[in-house]
Amino acid sequence: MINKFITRLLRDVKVGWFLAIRELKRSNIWSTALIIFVMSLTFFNMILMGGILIGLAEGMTSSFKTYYSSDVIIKPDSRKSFITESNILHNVLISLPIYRASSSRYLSPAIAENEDKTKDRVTDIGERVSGTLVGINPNDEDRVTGLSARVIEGSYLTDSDVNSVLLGKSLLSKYSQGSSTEPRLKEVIIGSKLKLIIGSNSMNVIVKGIIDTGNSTVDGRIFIPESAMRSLMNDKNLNANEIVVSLEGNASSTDAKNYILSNFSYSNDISVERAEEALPKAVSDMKSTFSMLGNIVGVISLIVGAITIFIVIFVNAITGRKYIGIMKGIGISARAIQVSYILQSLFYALSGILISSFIVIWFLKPWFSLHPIQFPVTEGELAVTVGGLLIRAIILTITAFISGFVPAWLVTRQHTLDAILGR
Amino acid sequence: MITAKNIIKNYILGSTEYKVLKNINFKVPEKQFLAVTGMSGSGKSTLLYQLSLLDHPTEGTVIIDGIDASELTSDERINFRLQNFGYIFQDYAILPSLTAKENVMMPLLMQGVGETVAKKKAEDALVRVGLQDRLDNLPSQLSGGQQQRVSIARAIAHNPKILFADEPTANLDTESSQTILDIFQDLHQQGQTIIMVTHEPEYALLTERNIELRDGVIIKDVLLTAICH
Repeated sequence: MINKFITRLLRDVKVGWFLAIRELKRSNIWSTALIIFVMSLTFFNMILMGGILIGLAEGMTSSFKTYYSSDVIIKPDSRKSFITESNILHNVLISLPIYRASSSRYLSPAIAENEDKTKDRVTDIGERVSGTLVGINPNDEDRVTGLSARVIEGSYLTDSDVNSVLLGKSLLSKYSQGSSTEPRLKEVIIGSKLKLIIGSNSMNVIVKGIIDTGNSTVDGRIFIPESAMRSLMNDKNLNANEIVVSLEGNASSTDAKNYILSNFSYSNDISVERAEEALPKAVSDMKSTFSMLGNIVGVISLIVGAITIFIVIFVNAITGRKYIGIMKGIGISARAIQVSYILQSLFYALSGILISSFIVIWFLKPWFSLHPIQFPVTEGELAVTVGGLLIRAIILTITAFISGFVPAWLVTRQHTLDAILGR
Repeated sequence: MITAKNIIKNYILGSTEYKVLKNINFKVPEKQFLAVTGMSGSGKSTLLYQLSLLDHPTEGTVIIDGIDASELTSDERINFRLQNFGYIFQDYAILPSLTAKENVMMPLLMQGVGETVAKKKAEDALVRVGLQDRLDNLPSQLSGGQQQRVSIARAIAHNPKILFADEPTANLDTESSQTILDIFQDLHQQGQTIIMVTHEPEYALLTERNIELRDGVIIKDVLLTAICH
């Protein structure tokens, strides 16, 4: 009984294959190309819109973690304005087994004024911009965030720089046109002289470089060597306001956080957060929203794709109704006919999937990497993984299987004579 | 042996019921060449559909070699047709995406014959109908008469017990029609049972027996062997 079933199944598959190959080989090339084109667009649609939205969501987290918080960020407790005993904390950090690097940041709100180029009279107030002045050890910061690689004009800071600054691109109007109504520096270029003002203290500095990280917080900052910051603040015992810690490889940031809290004597005075926890709520909400939208768009695309495939194959089967009737009339089994339609349907779907995947992997993904989508709070790439592609390809293939089977099943179920006579 | 037993076929169109076949009874012995004739609307094609198991009679049954067709499931009917019948349609009904040879191979492959053997048998069948130089042509590259000969080759390639032909010359010119009838006569000489529907009385005269229908009733059942042969 089972042997008979298997023999018949194999025979039906063989005959279905025989029919499908010839059907595809001899069908109108333009019709075939059109169907494959529709399949490609369907798969493309499944990947692209969802991929862009999820890419923006991932971009928010990625740039935040890479250029701002690193794996762990330590800030003063809300009751304090600076980190108490930062030297002791530093010793705790370097004793952490999974420690890789850390950078202490000294923050202060400041005004940068480009007074020379924009003042007509001495009494005039020059072109000004507000930002957070961040004192850093350039080498430490670079080890943690790789900031030097994000310099888009000029060059990165060195320890020996005493009156040089790096400007985040958001402070300059040429990089921020239309994105905000906040004042921007219009005429500042590399080498421009700026006056940094903190309260009653001020210092003249030279713009050494401009950075673009894609993170709105970092891109709104002014970076200055720590020593220059101390000099400007006139405070040799300046305490850090932020310490960011980079961990080895895939080390657990939760472990690091727990280690710091349990080994630092003044842990009540600090707030230790993993990158995910430090993400501002607005950004975190935006990320969730984009992820959700990406998934919704993906599901809608899948439904639209499934309907498209179904219609294409259904029309194909309906127009071939008479021939299906004839085949049944001469003794070809319904299953062999169904196999033929399923194989044709799979051919169309797999061709579309391959073409789209090729375009996405070899052209679009690299293109989006080179030209990220600019978004007010971050920049996004196309979030497509081989696993994600594979899942969508499997879903579309199953859909194609069903879409090939159902119309063929409906038509083969029809009365043979009615199919032949077109009734 | 094929037996039509009390066959009644009614069609319902809208609220009207049409009685197309009214209690048809006859037997066709093996190796007979039978022509079913009658005017348009007489029910001859409908009768052929019942005999060839393409349709179910409203009442009555068809018995073929002792097997009551009314007891077969849909799949069993398809398989029965495959194993026992060859069918020639009025409008050739060959698959447009298959060559002449591939069209003829189809029933053979379905019977489980290997591709190489099926190819050889298909070529032999096409040679028998005089299409040895059209083996690899697609239907669109063949004339109507040639397409009908492909249809005949497909119907005979697997040596069916009974060959059914539904107005096989209806769409053909005189010369092509004669070729088809010559092939039928050759097949008949070789012992093939043939049941052919035609509306051309002169073609019916070339057969062995003529059943004439009018308004769903047999009005004449004549053995022509005694008259013509």
